[in-house]
Amino acid sequence: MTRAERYAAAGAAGGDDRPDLCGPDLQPIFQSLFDRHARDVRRYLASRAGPVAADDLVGETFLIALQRRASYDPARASARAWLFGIATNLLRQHARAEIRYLRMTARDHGTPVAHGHADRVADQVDAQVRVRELAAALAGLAPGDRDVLLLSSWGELDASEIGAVLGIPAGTVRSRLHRVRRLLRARATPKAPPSLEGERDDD
Amino acid sequence: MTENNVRRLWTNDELDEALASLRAEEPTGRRTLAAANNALVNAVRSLEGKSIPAPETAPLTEFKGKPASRAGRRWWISAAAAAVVIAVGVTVVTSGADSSGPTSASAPRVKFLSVRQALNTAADKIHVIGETPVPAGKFRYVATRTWLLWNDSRIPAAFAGERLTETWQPSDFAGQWLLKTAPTGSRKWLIGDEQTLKAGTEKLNGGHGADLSEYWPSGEWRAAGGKFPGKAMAIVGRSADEWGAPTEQRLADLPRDPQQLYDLMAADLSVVNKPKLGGVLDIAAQLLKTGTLPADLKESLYRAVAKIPGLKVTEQVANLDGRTGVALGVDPVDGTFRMEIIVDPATGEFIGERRTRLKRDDNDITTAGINPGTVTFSSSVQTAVADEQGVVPPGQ
Repeated sequence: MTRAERYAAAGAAGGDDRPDLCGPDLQPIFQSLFDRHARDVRRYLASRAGPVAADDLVGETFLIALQRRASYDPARASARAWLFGIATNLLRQHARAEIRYLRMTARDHGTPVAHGHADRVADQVDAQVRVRELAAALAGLAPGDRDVLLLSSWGELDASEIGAVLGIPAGTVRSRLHRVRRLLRARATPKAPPSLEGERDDD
Repeated sequence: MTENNVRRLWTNDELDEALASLRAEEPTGRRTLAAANNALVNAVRSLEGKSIPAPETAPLTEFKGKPASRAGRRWWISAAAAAVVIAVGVTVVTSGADSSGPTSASAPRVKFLSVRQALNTAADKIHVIGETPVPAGKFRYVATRTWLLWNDSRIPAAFAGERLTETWQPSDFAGQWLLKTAPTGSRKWLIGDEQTLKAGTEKLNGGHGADLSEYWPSGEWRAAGGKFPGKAMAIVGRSADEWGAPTEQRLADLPRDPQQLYDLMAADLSVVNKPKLGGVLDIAAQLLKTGTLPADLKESLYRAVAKIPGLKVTEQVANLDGRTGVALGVDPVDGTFRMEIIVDPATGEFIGERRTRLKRDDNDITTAGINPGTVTFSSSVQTAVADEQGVVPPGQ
């Protein structure tokens, strides 16, 4: 299938976020790409690695996109999904920072409310405890499981898009997602989060 | 199972609610993304051959004084690593074995309007000149002189120290290689002198001056195929991976198609992982510094380097250890430093690499007090053919 045919097929599939990234005038193409997706990509990165790291990583994501624009296949994924894939690969390289951020979140997230209706207070405290437990559980997940879950929840990609950017079948994405959610609903933290003290930052 | 082990399952809604709570807030606005947007715009403009204003590079500059130190930081332990981390540099390569080729006297006389023009010209020349193979039974001698900046924010002293690293590569690539490295003792003081350094270290260490030799180690290693241990490579400032220490097979296998070679370098984890470093240009320099590249690979590498987004001609006539060439550089994404390679387009020779601090950062122990424009690392390489391993060829 030629490039023109791939675009035609993508268009027929209803995708309007499938630009030709190898057009003759890159500036409007990539500015449009940035304007459309940078906020979401940064938010996803900030959710996983913290806002400071996200400010760097979002820039890196788009520079890599520019460098690898020829590898973008609009027939396989939307530009948004492709960018989230790049961002996720970047996060893989910063896994230590991500896990540290999640553990810090597990430790610090939320302050129990001290006043209000008793039932409401109890609900809020329960929710905060859940968030802390979830952050700890996320830190203990296998990287592939974490990618699938968070691309789905925070990246808002569907199974076929996740499969495309991670290079795995959509069916595998669905079964992995089901397993991970079941694990987290049981609050099964694979391993207790160790103390932050003594950790080295090799990133 | 005890009662304590019985836990109510979360509902899907509770899980989604907790996930939503962990999700970051929206950024406040475009200002948050301005740096990323600027980097992208610059990269695109460069790719399209449009000019981007950039500060001029400069040689080692005077220090203008140092800021107050950051209290309570355990800095000394990592002083050596810090000095290495900020190292940025100049590698000068001459093909001593190929004395018949053009020399540095043929400095570039014309201005190269574009990176592509400069590198393609160099690639064309390289194709003609080629590398000199090591004669049977002889050794390729490579002497690298590296200048590293040593600095900390609590001592009124900073200097660039020189290290000499020598390798002897046998004509049989898989044979025993020899690597020697040691500081030469030469120092260029940017601030203070030996006395202020000694006094500063004694004050910080309760009357005990630090022995800098700990941070400037010497060593000698032998290894088949040039696969020296990682520690040795770290000391001499080279990567021990397939780019900094390629096998003969690797050199044979690397693509000769420039786009394929570029894609391979761009996909390397070190580039993806560490975009703040020199990226593809750093990898290319690592390869070039080995002095082992076949001519066709060297040509392909130059043409691949020309594809780096953001690469620009940063200095038309850069002088490194008396040799001149055109400097081609990139400013990594955060713009804190510039990495350059220097190529002599008249001969096709890779002259060196250089890194220059672009921003002052007084919050970092390794960069505090370093002014923009400071070249923070340099090294030069001479290659020649040696008759015996461990013996420096005449004239070197």
